[in-house]
Formats: sequence, C-alpha cells, structure tokens
Amino acid sequence: MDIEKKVGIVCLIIGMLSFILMFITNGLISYLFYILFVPNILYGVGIFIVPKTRRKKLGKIPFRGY
Amino acid sequence: MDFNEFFYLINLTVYAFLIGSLLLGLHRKIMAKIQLRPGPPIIQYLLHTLKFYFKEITFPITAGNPLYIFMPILQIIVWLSALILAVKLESSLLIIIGLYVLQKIVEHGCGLSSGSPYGKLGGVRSVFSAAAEIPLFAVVSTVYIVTNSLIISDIVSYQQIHGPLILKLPISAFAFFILLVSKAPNSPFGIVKGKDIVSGYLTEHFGLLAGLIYIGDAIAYFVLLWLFIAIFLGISNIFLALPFMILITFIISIINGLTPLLAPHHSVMLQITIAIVVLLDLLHRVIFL
Amino acid sequence: MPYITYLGERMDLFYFNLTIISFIFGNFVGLEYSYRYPPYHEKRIDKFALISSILGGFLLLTPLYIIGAFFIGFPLGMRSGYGRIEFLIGLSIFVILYLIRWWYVTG
Repeated sequence: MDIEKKVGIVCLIIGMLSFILMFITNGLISYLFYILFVPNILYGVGIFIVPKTRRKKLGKIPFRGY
Repeated sequence: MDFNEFFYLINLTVYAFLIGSLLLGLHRKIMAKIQLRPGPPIIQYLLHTLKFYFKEITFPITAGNPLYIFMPILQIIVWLSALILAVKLESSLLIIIGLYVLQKIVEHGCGLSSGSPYGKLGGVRSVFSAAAEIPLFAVVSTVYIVTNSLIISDIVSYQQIHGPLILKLPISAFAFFILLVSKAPNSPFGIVKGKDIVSGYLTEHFGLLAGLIYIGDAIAYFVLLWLFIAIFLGISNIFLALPFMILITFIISIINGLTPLLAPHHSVMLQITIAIVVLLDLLHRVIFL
Repeated sequence: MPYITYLGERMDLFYFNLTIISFIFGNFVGLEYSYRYPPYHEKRIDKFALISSILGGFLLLTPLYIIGAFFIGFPLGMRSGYGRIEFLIGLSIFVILYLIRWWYVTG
C-alpha cells in the first residue's frame, strides 16, 4: 500500500471520529469538528474510488529528467 | 450540535459550493463572450470539479508527501471556517481576514511541496503578493472608525439604520472590490496562478487534489462575494444577495476579460498604491472626524 | 421562486438546493441533447427547447418549481449557438408573470 492510501485511511478515521464528536459536543467546538469532517471524508472516500493508474513508471512525471 | 444544525450546515456548504461554481462558470462564459469566443457552458466549472474528483491519479515522486496531500484539505478547512464564521455566525471581521491570510499558506505549501519549478515560482510569488492584504486591513480599520464595531451583524444592522456603507466609504469599497478581482480566475492581479508559470501553485496538484482545491475555490468565491455585499451593501441574507452576486460577477468578468495579466512588480505596486490611498482616507477620518 | 420570500426557514435552503441541482441537471441534459446537431446552427429555433423553456417559465411560479428549474435549465445548457432565444423567451415569461403576481399581491 502506497503512502497516499495510508493518508486516506488516516483521513477516514479522523473524519469518522469528528463525525461522532460533532454530535457529542456543543457550541463552537462542534463547528470545528464539522470543519474537520468534510474535507477529510472527501479525501478519504475519493482516494479509494479513483481508478487504478495505468502508468508504467509510477510518479515519474515527464519533463523532470526521467 | 443536534441533527437539525448538522443538516443546515451541510445544506449551507452545498449551497455555497453550487452557487460559487455556477458563478465561476458564468465568469468564464462572459469572459469568452467579451473575447468573441463561444465559450464553455456555465456548468463547466462544476463538470471540471466532478471530472477531477473521479479521475485516475499518479503522485509525483518529487512531492514532499504529507504536506502535498494536506494542502488541498487545508484549503477546504480554511474556507469552510470562513463560511461558517461569516455566513452562519456573522462573527468578527478580523477572524475572517486572518483566515484570508491563511490562504497564503495554502498557496505557498502547494507550490513548495510539489517539487515542480513552476509550483515553486507560484509559491514565491504568493509571498510577495501579500501586498494585497494591506488594503484589506485599511478597509477593516476604516469600517471600524465609521461603525464602531467589527462584528458583521452589527455592521449590517448599522447599515439598516444609516444606509449602505458603499455611499459613505467608496474608496474602501473600491479596495475591497480589487481584492475580489484579484481572487477571481484570470484576473490582472492573478500572478500566483498566472499562465506565464503554467498554472502556478496548482501545476502539480492534479486529479483528486485538484478537485478538492476547486471545491475550496468555489466556496471562497461565494464567501468573499457575500462579505462584500454584507459589509458594503448591508444585505446579509444569502438569497437576497444572489442577484448582487451575479451583478458583481458580471463586472469582475468584464474587467478580467479586458485587462492583460500584469507583471508581478506592477501588480504589487498597484496594490500598494491602492493601500496608500485607503490609508490616507483612514488618516483623514481619524484626524478630522 | 416566490417561495424564497419566506426567508430564514431552515428547510427552505434544502429545497432551494434541490432547485439548483435540478437546474444543473437540466443544463447537463440540454448539453447532451444539443451535441447531436452540428455546431453553430444559428437562426433556428428548437421545438423541444422552446416548449421546455415556456413550461419552465410557467412551472417556476407553482409548487412544482423544482421541475420548472429543470425545464428552464434545458435551453440554457445547450452548446453555444443554440438555445439562446428559447431561454430568453422562457425567462421573460417568468419575469412578466412574477411581476404581474407581485403587483396583484401588493396592491
């Protein structure tokens, strides 16, 4: 598993935790958890539904000396 | 928070995103019509966001990795906080200005973490385009001198009694409007993602990450337009602000369609000149009023 | 759209979001539909687009405004060179009806 997927799992965990904590807490803190919840879930879900890359050399972008 | 609150927040976020993307699409369409091109349909920005979100992606091995992925997330965090603090809570103006300055960290981090020379140039330019914040602080202090408050709800209720602030503070309104212009795509002040350095700090954020940055940009455009309308026209309702948003987008796209991209030092000097004018206005108000 | 005059209600935002999404979906369908024709076929009025635009202009003033947004989005979303006149006809019908209704309600 590459590092992007690992970050995706961490993001999913943070998103789930803040989703739960959002409903427990009150006031400004709950808004903070909402703000953490949206982008983390967006990244965590997105990284697992993008199709697998068909590129031969992973991560070697052209015009960079490769 | 209970479920009703959560439902409202989700709705507000979706509303800001959809309206922001439609307005940015309209911006592109009007710019194309001015330049005698047919132009894309107005849902193009939205289609781009969806396309990038579901696209296959490869991460460059030159990227500094946690930072590279964290930056688009930070972009959404910054503008979601601005959305909630401004539109939902109608809180202090200073916090929102602080959040606007955090946007610079996103640009800088995006550019420097990717390892691309174009991104690096964009990040460096974003540092010295920090001159755009000087008029902002001058605007805030001028508004404070007149209304004796920095809370947005107080400013709005002041305008309901005394009439819109744009008639009293035309110079400040102009400076804030220049800020809106510099935030819009293809603007003369857009040295950070100008086409002379491929896409600036966005050059190596493609696929999913570009989709996230696009979502953040749409929310940012909505929030900044709402701020202008709330501070200077005194309309804080998100439905009633909609016609004014379309009008301002129309004016901004005419300006952006007719002006070329300024060179970095010209852009910075112009913004500093505007800042000096607003500061002189502030000085005049402090001394004589 | 007269429903956005009841401002401040929380559910209203939800229905307005649904209206926008249906409008975007109408745009998308219009785009797909107009790609069956060659580019830039000006001075030609499409029957489907005209009917849907007029229908949308009427429906926006009724409780079915979510469907009305779909129908008025259909001509607006068509590729360039198409649907401009149709959209303007539908929009003007909506504006005229809205003004008549406003005048009728207020005085």
